Amino acid sequence: MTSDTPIANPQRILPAWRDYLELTKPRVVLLIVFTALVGMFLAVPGVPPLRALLLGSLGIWLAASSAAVVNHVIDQRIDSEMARTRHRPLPEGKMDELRAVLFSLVLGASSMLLLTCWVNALTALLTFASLIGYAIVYTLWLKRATPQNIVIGGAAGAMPPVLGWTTVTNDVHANALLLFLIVFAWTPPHFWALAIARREEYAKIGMPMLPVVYGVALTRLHIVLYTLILTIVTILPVLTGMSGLVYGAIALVLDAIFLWHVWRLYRDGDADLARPMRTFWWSIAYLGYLFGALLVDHYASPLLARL
Amino acid sequence: MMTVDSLVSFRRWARFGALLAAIVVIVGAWVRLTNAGLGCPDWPGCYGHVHPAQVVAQVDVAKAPYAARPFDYQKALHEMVHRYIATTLGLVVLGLAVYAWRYRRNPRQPTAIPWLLPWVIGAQGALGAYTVTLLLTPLVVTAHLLGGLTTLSLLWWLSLTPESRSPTAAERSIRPLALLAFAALLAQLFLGGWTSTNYAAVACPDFPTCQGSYHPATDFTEAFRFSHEAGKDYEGGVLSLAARTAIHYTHRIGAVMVGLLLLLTGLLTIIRARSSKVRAAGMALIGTVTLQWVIGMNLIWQGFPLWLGTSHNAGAVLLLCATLLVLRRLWPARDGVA
Repeated sequence: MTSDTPIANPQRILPAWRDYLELTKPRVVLLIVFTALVGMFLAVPGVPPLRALLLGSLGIWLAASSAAVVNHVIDQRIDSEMARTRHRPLPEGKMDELRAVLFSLVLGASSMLLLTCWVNALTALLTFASLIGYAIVYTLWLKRATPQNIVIGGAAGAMPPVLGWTTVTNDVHANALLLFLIVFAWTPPHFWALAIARREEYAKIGMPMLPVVYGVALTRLHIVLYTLILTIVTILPVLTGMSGLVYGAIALVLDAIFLWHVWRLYRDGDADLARPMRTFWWSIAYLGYLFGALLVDHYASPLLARL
Repeated sequence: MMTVDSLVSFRRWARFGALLAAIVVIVGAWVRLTNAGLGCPDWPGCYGHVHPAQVVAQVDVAKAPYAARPFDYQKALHEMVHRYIATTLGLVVLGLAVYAWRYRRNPRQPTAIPWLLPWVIGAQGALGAYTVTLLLTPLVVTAHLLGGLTTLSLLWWLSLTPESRSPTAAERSIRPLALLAFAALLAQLFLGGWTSTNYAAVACPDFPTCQGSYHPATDFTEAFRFSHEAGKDYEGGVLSLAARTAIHYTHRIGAVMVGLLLLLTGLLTIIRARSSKVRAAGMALIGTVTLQWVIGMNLIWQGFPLWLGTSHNAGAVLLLCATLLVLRRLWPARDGVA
């Protein structure tokens, strides 16, 4: 802080904009919007219409932010019991529940309005379904009901590239479903790596995460198996002809690194306590790089083929 | 010691990136002024190729979009050179983002701007594509220019070493004026882009009068209409003379007012400075304002030669950098955070 900034008044009446921003999980939403953007660019040869690109990403951004706020509201009690989430605005009392609920409604409603009026009904409908799927089905129910929570709930998180695709084409193409499949297969190893690292906290609050219910050893095996599935799924875009060899080469390297991470996690067991979190952070970078590769390939492969 | 070295090296790379970004912006202006913006009707390739020399005139041009536009090797080359340098800049920016990630635990390592930059560059790539597919729509081309200047500004800001001492009260008192002048400069940069993209410079071939008068016929409603028609070719401009005159005249009045604001900021900075570094920033600002005025007037008097048009863009780049330098000197780093 600069020396002339007054110290924040703890009794302030309105929460600061930073608290509102934090409720929307800006970093996670950024990755979500990025996968949606890639969906838009891959939907057509050349560049998608500027209008669809701007309005679509804004609408998906608003919807994803709305879902994140709902997640904060529903999870505020368990958030207050976990070290990782204790400092969130609601458990800390920096934001009251009513404001957060209203904020999420405004975000969700403006997203629906924007997508329905200026994008297309299909995208609005699918976005709404994803929002409900994440905010209600996953957060309120699945998460507390079964160790398969994040596997099934991952479907909502895998929707953004499809939403991006339908924004441009108003049609669910098989290749869009391929992008869905990639994120869907990626979610379990990504999330279970975190769940292993935080298993004691999850156990304390009674969350039925896989390592809590069936133990860490089985979770490690599941992570390896799902990463193998992910490897196969990420090769499919080359086989169907959606993407070229530029993507294929990068995907293979990324898959190899991911497999190396999860193999170390599997083999070393509890010998390396930092490994689960390292795998978790890598999985995030992996998804960013992989979708970046899809985007670059969309333009680079046709050019390189004519060199 | 390691952490200090990592920051020095980071700033050096940012400085290189800023230089490259300045080149991309200036080459971009040159592409525009040589009417080469549509030298390649597709994106990211040129008639589907990496280099225009690979284009087979008969075969490729026939199936390219807007086949009516004849293939011009020189124009295509200009456009592709801009894209090559911009791609190189993209790689530098990605490198800086990775660098910032590696050293993120160092509290003095800037992270927000390095992680924002790849998004700005990505948006710039897309806008570059839209300048072509939307046939030089003025708003898109101007946005592409402003995006380029944003990239340059962020890199330049990262490359400046903040002073460790906090500014004196006299120095701090310049801040509101400096911010106002900066905001005015941004508006003037937009107006400059708007003048160029609407081909409005030639609407007033004389200075200080316009069409021999201080009250030329103007149409401000048409001049600042921000909609565009799909499929319309905007090369050469589509607005009426009155609308173009309005745009040019607004930029001219802006030049006087923004220039005076910046001069005042520079003068006050020199007078109230308590260190030679702050004083030097003020002098740089005064120098660049004067330079840009001289270029602008000569551009008109000499009948809009290409080299002066490009220099006017380069002058804007220098002016922006000098203004940011003053701001950086007036706002030293927060304690511990660069």
